[in-house]
Amino acid sequence: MNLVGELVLARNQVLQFNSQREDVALNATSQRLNLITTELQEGVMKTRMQPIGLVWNKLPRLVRDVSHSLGRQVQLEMDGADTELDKTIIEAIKDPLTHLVRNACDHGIESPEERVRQGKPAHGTLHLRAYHEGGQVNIEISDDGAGMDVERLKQKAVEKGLCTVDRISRLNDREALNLIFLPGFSTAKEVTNVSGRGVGMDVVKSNIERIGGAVDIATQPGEWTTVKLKIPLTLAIIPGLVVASGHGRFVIPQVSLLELIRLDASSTGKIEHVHGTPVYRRRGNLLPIAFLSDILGHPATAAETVNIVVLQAEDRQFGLVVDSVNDTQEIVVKPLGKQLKGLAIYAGATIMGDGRVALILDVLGIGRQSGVLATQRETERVGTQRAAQVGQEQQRLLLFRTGAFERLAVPLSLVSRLEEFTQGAIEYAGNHPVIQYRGGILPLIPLDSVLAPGAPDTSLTNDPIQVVVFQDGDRSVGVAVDRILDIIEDSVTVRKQSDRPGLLGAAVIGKQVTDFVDLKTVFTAAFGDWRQTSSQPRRGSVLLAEASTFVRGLLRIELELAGYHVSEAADTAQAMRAMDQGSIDLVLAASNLPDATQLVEAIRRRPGGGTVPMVALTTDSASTLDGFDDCQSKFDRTSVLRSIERLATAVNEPAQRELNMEAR
Amino acid sequence: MTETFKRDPATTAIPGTAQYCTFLVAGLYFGIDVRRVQEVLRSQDVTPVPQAPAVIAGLINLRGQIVPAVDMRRRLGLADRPAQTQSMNMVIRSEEGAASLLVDEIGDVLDVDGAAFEPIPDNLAPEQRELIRGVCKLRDRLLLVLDAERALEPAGTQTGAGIA
Repeated sequence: MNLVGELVLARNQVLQFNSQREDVALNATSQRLNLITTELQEGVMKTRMQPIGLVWNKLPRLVRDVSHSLGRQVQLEMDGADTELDKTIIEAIKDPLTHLVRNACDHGIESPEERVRQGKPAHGTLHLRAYHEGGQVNIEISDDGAGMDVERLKQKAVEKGLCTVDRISRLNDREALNLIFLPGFSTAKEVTNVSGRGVGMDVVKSNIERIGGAVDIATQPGEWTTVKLKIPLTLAIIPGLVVASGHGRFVIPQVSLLELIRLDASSTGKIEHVHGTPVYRRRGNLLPIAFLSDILGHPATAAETVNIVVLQAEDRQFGLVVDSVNDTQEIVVKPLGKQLKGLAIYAGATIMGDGRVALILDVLGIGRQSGVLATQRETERVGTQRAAQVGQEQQRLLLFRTGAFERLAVPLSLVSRLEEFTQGAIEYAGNHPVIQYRGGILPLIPLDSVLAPGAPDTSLTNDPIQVVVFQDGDRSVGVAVDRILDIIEDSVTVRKQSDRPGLLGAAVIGKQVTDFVDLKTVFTAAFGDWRQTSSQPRRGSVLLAEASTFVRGLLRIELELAGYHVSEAADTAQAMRAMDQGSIDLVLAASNLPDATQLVEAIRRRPGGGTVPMVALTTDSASTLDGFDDCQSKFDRTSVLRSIERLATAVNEPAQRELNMEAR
Repeated sequence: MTETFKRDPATTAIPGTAQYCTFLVAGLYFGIDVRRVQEVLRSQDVTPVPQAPAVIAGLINLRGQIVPAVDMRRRLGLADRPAQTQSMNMVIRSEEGAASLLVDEIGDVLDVDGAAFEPIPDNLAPEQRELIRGVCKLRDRLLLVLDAERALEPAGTQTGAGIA
């Protein structure tokens, strides 16, 4: 293989040499050399291909042994044993495959008695399937066993301190399934000599990822589990995008590449800076930007056009600015020596057609180095600070400054867009500043005038004016601020609640005290009582019983934006008064109210109160769920909304509820 | 070329008689055990590796094998090579595969008698001390015997301790 590599290289050099001169004989000879070399290369690659059956051959024996020792009855079926893979890959997947098969026999397939009780045949079926798909080989390992219980996985992860309660509650089923890839995770109730020792799936995953593959799991509790391995055909050659930065050429593996964006003088978009952090607006979303020249430590080249390579690392995306994008090439990956192992930004090196070496960039390492991806992984963060983190949430916040308020924040999820307008764009409608925006009229609210009425207003005199656009249904409001500072991901710890109108409270964000803006006040300033005039359909009344004004404020905004009418209550007495005053369709109650259980009982005792859906808002899983219909983390606003929606529609069906709604 | 490198006792202790491949770095006369040397090449295209330690001049393509090049001037804490002068590559075998040392000039292969060896003078700069296993008195000049393994390690991870 190495010899062929050298031959290919020599061929490349001859071709390059040939292209510089016009010698017909040489030309013909080099063409011939080219053809022969290519054929030889293909031939050698082919001899390296081996059928996956070579690994599978050992599995029937393994399955028989394992099932025998565990008292299971397992029937092994194999499809596509003649699917071919590179020799080195066959070697690399041997262990992971063996592990997965053991796992399926032990955790997946139940004991014969259990299976018969569930009406399944006594013997379980383990099905292996290998097939080519899009330049990759897929290997599926399916069993018709017990499947995996997502709730139990979550519970286990929390018990073992692998993940925080807050985070767990926000995982969807698919994400929760991936918990089993965390190091130290095992759901086996008892440790057997086959599996359950907590070493395993993480190793499987890292082994598969090392050869550029991926692991995917799907399951149906009580029915089946399928593990799907996606494996590249060969390790040696991967497609890559060649980019240039400074004087060097670099290769980005095609698997991480999402799209290319080219900005020149005529394009509308540009890279903007939020407190020094570059971002790009890609189809309405902010994409963090890193500069390859910064990462590599050479001066940036000033150019008319900007090339952004949009990359995906783990589950996040970022843009990498490079000097130029050349082309895609099939490259041969070679490892870096130990002297360069410490450099996370490179995945290896390769030799280009001209015989020179080019470095292959490691997308994950680049992302971390440049700070567009957090350096810490969830698994590293949890455990040590678990107790301290209860009640906190990592949340993306937009930070800005206006007038006397040095540091203000709103949750980024509420922000629709960030805009810049010139002074000339401001017009007045009914003595209120407005701007023509996307074919509509955008009312402009100087945030200063809301927070500190009467204070000299500076944000509208800036040029350009920085505007944060919030959207409510089909109506938008632009809030003019002095300066956008940053977008930050941090946990929100409330330190102080505010009595100033327009502010919800203060929290420490990014090690500095930051005020949270109460958007309700802003919207009221824009539209009068905007809730009443909101064009979104009214969706019912929600009683929000929560001791913390700050949390109430945050949730209220979300609920009102979603179209609910919100009544607030700080304690049980207030809650009961609210229940008496108007019809309440749903109750959200914090489980840490001093007398939450009494509140539940009191509401349940009320006439008609037995059917009111109640959602508990918790900060940790230790809270009781007695009497509640659902339980959600108070900081996970999306899930809270989803839960409300679900319960509200379920309850609206009985006629009694409909009458209630009409009476209101 | 087929002989694989083994770290035999003779390379760690000063041997009776050994052959040394010699080279010049900024006027200093170095020798390296000839059994460690794979080949000697003229100046090659070096692809720099941004963010790598300064002693790593870059990567070179050695007939399809990618080999790191260590700039011996930087490794020894000496001034950089003047521009326009070309370096020579001395490719040595190590446990981690081949690596290239960028040196100024390549000299002859010398037979050296072990009796001519002396401990390293105490007043040598620390960067150089840690890389030198001994000094050999030749008739007209001094030959510094390079510890190839150490030269390939990143600077600062090893001290010169342990060398008598």
